[in-house]
Amino acid sequence: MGDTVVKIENLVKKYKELTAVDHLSLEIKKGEIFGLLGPNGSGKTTTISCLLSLLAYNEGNIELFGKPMTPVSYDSKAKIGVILQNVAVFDELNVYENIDCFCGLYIKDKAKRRQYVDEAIEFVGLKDFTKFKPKKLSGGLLRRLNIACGIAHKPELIILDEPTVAVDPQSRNKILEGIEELNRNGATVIYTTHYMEEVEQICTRIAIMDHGKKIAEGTSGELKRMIKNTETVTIEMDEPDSGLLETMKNLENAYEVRWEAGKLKIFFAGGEHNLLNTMDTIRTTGTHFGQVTSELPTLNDVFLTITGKELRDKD
Amino acid sequence: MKVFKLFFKIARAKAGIILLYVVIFLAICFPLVNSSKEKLDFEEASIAISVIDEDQTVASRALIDTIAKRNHLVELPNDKQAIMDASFYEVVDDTVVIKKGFEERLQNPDDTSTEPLFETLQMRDTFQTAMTEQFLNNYIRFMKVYVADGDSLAEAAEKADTELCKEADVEIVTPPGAEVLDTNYTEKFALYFRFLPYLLIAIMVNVLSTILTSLNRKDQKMRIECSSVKMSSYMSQIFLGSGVFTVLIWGIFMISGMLVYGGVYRGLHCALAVFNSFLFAVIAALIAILISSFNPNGTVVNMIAQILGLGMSFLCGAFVPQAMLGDGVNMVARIFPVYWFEKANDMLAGIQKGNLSDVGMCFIAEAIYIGVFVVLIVILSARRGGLVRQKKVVANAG
Repeated sequence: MGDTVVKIENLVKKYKELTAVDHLSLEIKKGEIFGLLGPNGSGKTTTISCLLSLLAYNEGNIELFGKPMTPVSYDSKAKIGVILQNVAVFDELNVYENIDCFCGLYIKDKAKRRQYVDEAIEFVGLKDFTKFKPKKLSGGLLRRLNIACGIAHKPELIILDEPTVAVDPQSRNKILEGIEELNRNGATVIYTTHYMEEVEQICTRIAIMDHGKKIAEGTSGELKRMIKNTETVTIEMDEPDSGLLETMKNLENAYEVRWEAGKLKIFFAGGEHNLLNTMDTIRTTGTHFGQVTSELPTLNDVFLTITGKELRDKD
Repeated sequence: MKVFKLFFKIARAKAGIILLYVVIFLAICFPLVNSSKEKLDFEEASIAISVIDEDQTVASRALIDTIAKRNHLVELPNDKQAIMDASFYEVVDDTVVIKKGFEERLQNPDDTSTEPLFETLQMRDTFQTAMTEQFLNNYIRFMKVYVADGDSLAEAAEKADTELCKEADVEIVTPPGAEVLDTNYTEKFALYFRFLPYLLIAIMVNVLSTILTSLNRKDQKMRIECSSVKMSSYMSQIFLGSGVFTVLIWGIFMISGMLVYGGVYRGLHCALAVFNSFLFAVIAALIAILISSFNPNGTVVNMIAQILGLGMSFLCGAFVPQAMLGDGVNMVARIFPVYWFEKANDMLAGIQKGNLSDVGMCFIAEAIYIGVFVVLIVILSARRGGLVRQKKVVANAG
């Protein structure tokens, strides 16, 4: 087993006729930030719920820290920190009491717990809000409190299920930086989201899910290499004649040229200096043009190529 | 005991609601209990009447004397404005104007005039004015009969006076079959206990239910289920918390009961009444737990508390004694636990017929409710909660 923290084999979870998770297998190593990426309804949260034994599943096996995970695997549970999609705190308790309460489910020693709670408050930047009740906190601060409640006991495995939904950019950055810091401190992280930018920013390995199935897995670079496109150059211009289109198609590494909505798009597969070559060629034709951009492929392109639809279709 | 402590941290946040209920209840209860009489009494009604005598004869003065014997006579000038002012400010309940010719017409057996012998003046029709009207009509009837029988005016007036001023023969009896079983548990004390069901339901549903709803809210519960706290320990700590909370609330009302009464509980019937209230506190707590298993929001909880508390209290004799409710109402009320609480309470205070074994039957009825609610809670928990799910997952893992 070695340094495998999570092992999911052939997991199947059905809700009557609907198969929410379809023969999913994953292996997550110690020290990884593992991203589970997919549109809403792709089965990410169901997978996490099965992983945590919050949901019964129909087929498959789940192992955590080398042991089968069941509702009574309290040894394994003691090493996990969970930040679920919805904010799960008590409205009746203030910020400090909430963190202390959830930390207290794991840490019995009072002095140690006090230290951990203080560290968690410091970590999420809620030092000025310790006496605030959750209802007095903004959406971003509330999310930070939710995270603090999940990580205060210093878990070895942290599971974050869409922690940045409805969060302002400032809080989002703070949360993402925090996750990276937790990982640097030794925690293995499972991060589910439908925001591909977040996954690209922090995850060391990614699994893309759709309709309950894992459709791709690897690092961001490996996933992008799965598709033909390596660069897309977009030029703002009037409708080109067939001669210009033909010239562009003949550019080295170009495999497709498309004119749509006042923009000429040239798709490249591999190669270097594609933008420079494009600019040189267009100047020689004497074509007037406006803004020129070059885009590298995103995980959305990977998703689009594999499934034929946008990652954010259902967002 | 982290979950147990969490239970009371949440309860602490609801202390204001509990305090509000207790203070309002005691503020209402203190004067209500202390103004109630230990024994029923009868007192003849006395009305404040002023009389304007326009006749100034033996007969009119005799009438005034008779009125004065049974009522409180108020002197007013013969001025309509002054009379109406006195009536408006309720200085007098009614004013009688004896018309000129009163004596003459009483003596005349052939008097066929439709003109009234007197006039009454008042701002509004009340129970008192109706009584005055009835009294005067009776007086005239008696007078005419005696005069027609050959009596002189003075003799007739004396006889009419004797008839009308007879004391009502009143005997106060306890309700058929009722017996005062214990002088320590009086009606006054029973009145305090009678109102308890409403309070216990209101507090338990409003507070205990919301504490449990907070603890059982899906997201919070999931986070706790993900932790290393055993679910059996979690459930038992919540159960313990609910039990301690119930005893505390019941204890508050038992202590405040002593404050209202001004003494400690003494005697068997007091002890049984206290036990009766404890049984009901357990029922109220179980109702609250049952409601919380549906995870209602605060508004719904409050609505349920009012409907259950007020509805059962009205129907089952908490606000109006069972003896004053119709048979049909009492028949329907039997299906509610408050009915059995109130019945036992009334029997212990001697308000209703019943001996100790009848009281015991009421306790058994309450115990049956406790059993039914416990079964319902277990079934609902198993259906909604983790038991079924956990079995499945364990089976899968195996």
